[in-house]
Amino acid sequence: MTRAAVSSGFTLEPQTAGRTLEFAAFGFPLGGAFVVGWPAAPGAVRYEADDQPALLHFAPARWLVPQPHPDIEALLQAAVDAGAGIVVDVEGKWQPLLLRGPGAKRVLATAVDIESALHERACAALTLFDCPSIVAACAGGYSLWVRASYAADFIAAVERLGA
Amino acid sequence: MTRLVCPFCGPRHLREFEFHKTLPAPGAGEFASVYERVDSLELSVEHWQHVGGCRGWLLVRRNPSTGAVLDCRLVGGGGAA
Amino acid sequence: MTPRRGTRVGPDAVRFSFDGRTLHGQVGDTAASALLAAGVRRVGRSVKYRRLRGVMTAGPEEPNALFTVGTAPAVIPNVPAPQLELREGMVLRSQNRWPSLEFDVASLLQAGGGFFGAGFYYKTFIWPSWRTYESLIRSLAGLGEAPGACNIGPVAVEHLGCDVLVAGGGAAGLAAARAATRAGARVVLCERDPVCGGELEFEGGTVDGRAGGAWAETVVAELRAAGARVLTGTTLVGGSGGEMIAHAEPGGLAGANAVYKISPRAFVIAMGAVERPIAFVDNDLPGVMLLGAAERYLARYGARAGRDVVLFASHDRVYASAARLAAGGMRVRAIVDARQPDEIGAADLRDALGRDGTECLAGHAVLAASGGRAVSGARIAPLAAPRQARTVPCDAILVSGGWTPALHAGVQEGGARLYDPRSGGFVAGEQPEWRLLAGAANGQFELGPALADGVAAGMRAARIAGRQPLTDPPPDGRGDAAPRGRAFWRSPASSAEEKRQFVDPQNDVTVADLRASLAEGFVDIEHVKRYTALGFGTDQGRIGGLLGAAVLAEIRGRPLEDVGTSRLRPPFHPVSMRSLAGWRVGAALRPARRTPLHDWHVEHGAVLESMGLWMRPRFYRANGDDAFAAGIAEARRVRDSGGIADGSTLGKIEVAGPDAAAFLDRLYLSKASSIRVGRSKYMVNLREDGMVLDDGIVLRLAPDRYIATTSSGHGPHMLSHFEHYRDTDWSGRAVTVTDVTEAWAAIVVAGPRSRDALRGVLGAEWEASLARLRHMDFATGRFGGRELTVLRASFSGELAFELHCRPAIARPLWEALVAAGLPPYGLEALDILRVEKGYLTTAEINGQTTPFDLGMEGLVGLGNDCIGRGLLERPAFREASRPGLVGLRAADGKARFLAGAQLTDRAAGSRPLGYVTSSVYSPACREWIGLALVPRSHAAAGALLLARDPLREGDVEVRVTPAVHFDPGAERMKS
Repeated sequence: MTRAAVSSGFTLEPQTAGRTLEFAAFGFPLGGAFVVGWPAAPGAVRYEADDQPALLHFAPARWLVPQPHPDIEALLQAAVDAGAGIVVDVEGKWQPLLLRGPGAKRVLATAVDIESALHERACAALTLFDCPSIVAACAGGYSLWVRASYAADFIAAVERLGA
Repeated sequence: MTRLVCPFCGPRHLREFEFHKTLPAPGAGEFASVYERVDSLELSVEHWQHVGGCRGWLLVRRNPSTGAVLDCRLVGGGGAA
Repeated sequence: MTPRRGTRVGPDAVRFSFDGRTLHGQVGDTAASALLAAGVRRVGRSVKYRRLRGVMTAGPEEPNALFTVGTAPAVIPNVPAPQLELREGMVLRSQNRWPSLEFDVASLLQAGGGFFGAGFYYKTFIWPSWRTYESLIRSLAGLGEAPGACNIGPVAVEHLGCDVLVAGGGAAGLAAARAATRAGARVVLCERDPVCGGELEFEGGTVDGRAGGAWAETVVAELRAAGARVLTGTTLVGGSGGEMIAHAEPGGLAGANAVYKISPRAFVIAMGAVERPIAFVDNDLPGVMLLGAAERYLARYGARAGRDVVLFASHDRVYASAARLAAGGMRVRAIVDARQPDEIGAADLRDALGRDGTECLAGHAVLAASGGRAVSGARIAPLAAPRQARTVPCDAILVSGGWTPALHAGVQEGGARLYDPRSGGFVAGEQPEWRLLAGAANGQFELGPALADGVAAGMRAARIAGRQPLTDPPPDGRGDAAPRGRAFWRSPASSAEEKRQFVDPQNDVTVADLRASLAEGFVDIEHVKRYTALGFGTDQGRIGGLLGAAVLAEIRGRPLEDVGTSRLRPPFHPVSMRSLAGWRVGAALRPARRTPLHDWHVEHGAVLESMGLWMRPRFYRANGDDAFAAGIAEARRVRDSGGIADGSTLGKIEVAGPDAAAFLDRLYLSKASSIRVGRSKYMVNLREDGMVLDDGIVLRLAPDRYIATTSSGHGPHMLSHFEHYRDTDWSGRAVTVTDVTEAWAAIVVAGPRSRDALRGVLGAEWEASLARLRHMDFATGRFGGRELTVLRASFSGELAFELHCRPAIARPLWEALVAAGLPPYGLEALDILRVEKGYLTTAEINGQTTPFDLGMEGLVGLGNDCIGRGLLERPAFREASRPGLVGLRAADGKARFLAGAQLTDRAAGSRPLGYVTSSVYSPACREWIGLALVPRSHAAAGALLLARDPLREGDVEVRVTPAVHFDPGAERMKS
């Protein structure tokens, strides 16, 4: 099989998955509990000081919390206490990956219209190479969370594109 | 010519969306709401799901003759936020 | 590229071969221009009559010059020569000939008895049957040969988002792209040729005082500088759902194909127009070419279509063309204009041509091309007196019957076409707001108006994309006057000659074929297409479609607008299968889902099976050579001592929130609200129509938190089902639905030794929990520092547990269980164990069975008002003709019967009553056992039926038994 080298200059690094949460609010549009500290707009992301995505509004009334920092946990707890939503521990559901380098965008453009998907958004829920995924812009490329059962084939699909 | 704009995700390709059903007439009884569909040339009111994206359920109003989408909103929670 | 009017520049640098002959072309040549320049006139044979053919066009609509490129096995057939950029060492072969182009055996068949018209083969080769002849005829039929081996090369797929997509880089397209870019829009421009400019390059016009070609280069530079993507050599082939697809297929295997999927906010179609041929006798001889093509070959490649040429047209532009051809060194012997003198303009040009020795004839037609293997003359006569014909010697006849707007992209997805008397063709009808036509594609054939049309379309497109265009005056274009013609379709001919008036050369459709079609009753244009093949093939009717329709209109005496043309469909030009496949090649065809234990299974000899997208172990090779033997060994061991299975593929949905219990009560036939925390329940969902949808175990983790498990295959569907009701009937309530399938690996531990083994593996902290757990209880705790839930539940009828653990500890936990003497078992054994117990899978829960059919009256009796409950009360669901779930065994206690066998009573000729849903060889029962759905009237235990399976097992007499074959009192599970 000939490889289709569509892009060079990218790296794909699987990250170690730690504790991962999803926060789901009761209903959408969102209530008043989501004003301060919450990335409330569709596709909005709250980044931590290290420029890592920390709270991603990837679906209506649903946030991904990749590595809950104490202040994020406090924010979630306050919303739970206010009866606005609920936290689900989804450790193991998402495989985090880092896709970086000048060729990173071209890799994603093989699968989807990534420019439009991230137009005026910091993150998006997408299907990449048939794998359910969440993409967020980050320093030097993209943070990806791919559904864990699909991760091996996702990595194979991306590596097939490399020179 | 059907182009769906997800109220949450923005414009996405049709292949990301899954058609579920054409809605029955308002006020239809239990039997009618399962087995009877409004079959109109001008207006079809449908449920779709954005399975390839945010998984939101969409209420789509569409002209089935032309495929033109008249309105697309989240079933449970209003239009574009 | 600068035009090279009339001269070949540079050394003949590119070496290539054509049918084994070594030839040379120039850098920038296409295969067609290089062959023309080299004086090669015959480039192929026709598909049916095997007539010699030459290059006819300069675009992808080429009907004749289709080549097989490359050497076996890496060959690509049917590449249009005018689209094929010449490369060093390129190997080209002509098609539809054997043994050679110049001498073809099959053409002799045709020479014997004249032409075999449409339908000839199907009507002639009927004795003793079509099949006798089929393989021979098929070997002669069709275009090029398919490659004998995989020729998939690299394909680069790119999705492009943009504000404005412009298809076509001619005058109108460039004007539109520039206007949109200047308005700040993100623009993508696709041009099928290697360079932009279209007709500008050779029409000799000026734009803003500059030569057309030079203006085009300036605009392209401006577009690129402003960040627009200008994709040359890239053809827009179709699209759907707002995504347009453009392909760059250089044709040879040397170049990488590219596929662009472009989702614009506005789309400008400026794909120009296609020149039409005129039907006359032998109008397919090598040397008959479209006039515009001859101009293009001369201007772009310096290749002459002929030395002495006759032009045949019915519009004014032919005179400007003639002047340019003459300036390029071709002798224009005669211009044959089918119009009457008073219809013809361009008087100055005609006078000048006449002074230079060109005969300008009005009211005349070319009746026939003369010549044996190529054009040697044109038979010309006044239309008023066709018998007064004379022959003008020439080596090329250049034809122009007018232009048809290329509106494919505007109507491929449906949409009206309107007859346009100006062009004699059809233009696009009403378009959605975001799709605009411009220039010749919009019926604007004159340079100035086409540019203005392009600018207007570009500005409108930018506005649709939310930009504010500046008022930009359109460029000042001066070129040929509007063609101002009258459509002329075919020259007079006798009925015998109509067999040689070609309408669609690619499919060898003649005027006589169209008459035959009408005579046979195939009248509608779509029927005529199927009967004659008019409009099929790689050119998709761009050459012959409209001409064929016009001739039909003439024969039927109806206006062309009533006849119409056949539907234009994508792709716009041939697309290779590899481009369609894109990145979805080989293992990438579809993703596989893997469990956290996947690698262990592979390392330990598991034979995997696909279940939906999931990969699951079917059996382990250590336990037997095949699935049958290994499955029996694995199942027997579970009942004898114990085993473990990977259940991670089970769907798991976490339902949480204060309204979770009430929500689940709606979704399940029995109440979730009555499950106590720490308990679980086997539950069944119904569809709205009362049929069983799925089953699974629901665990209550907390008052407001549940995990619902689904069958592996139904996981994604059940998630959508839950989400649907959350968002519709239950919107606004405090309940959330989260897919946690991958968050919990599941290990099934089954068998009499399971509890003891677990005690050893999980350690002292789990001792009390394990002792306490009754059937359907669960306990939560930790193992290896991660969360673990141990649920006592059984799908095997044995004492069994499901361990739901975080994926991170799945493998160590699994390995510890194996080390404790619990070997793994796969799906085969799992199926044996559950059939022995009469448990259900999708074979029984198949969307056509109700809870009554499946023996769940008890659950219905609980009276929970769930989805589907209302329609479940329909009387028909209680009738004796409804299927009921039963067990089956062979009447003789030995014979094998298989799932899928139809069940009848034993009388001969009786109709099927039901069928076998599942069957296995049961090591516990020591015989074949099964489950079946048969009418309740026949479901009494002991009833004898026939399992009929004529293609596999024949007829087997079977006896109805209770569905539970083994341990009916469930003593083992409770132990």
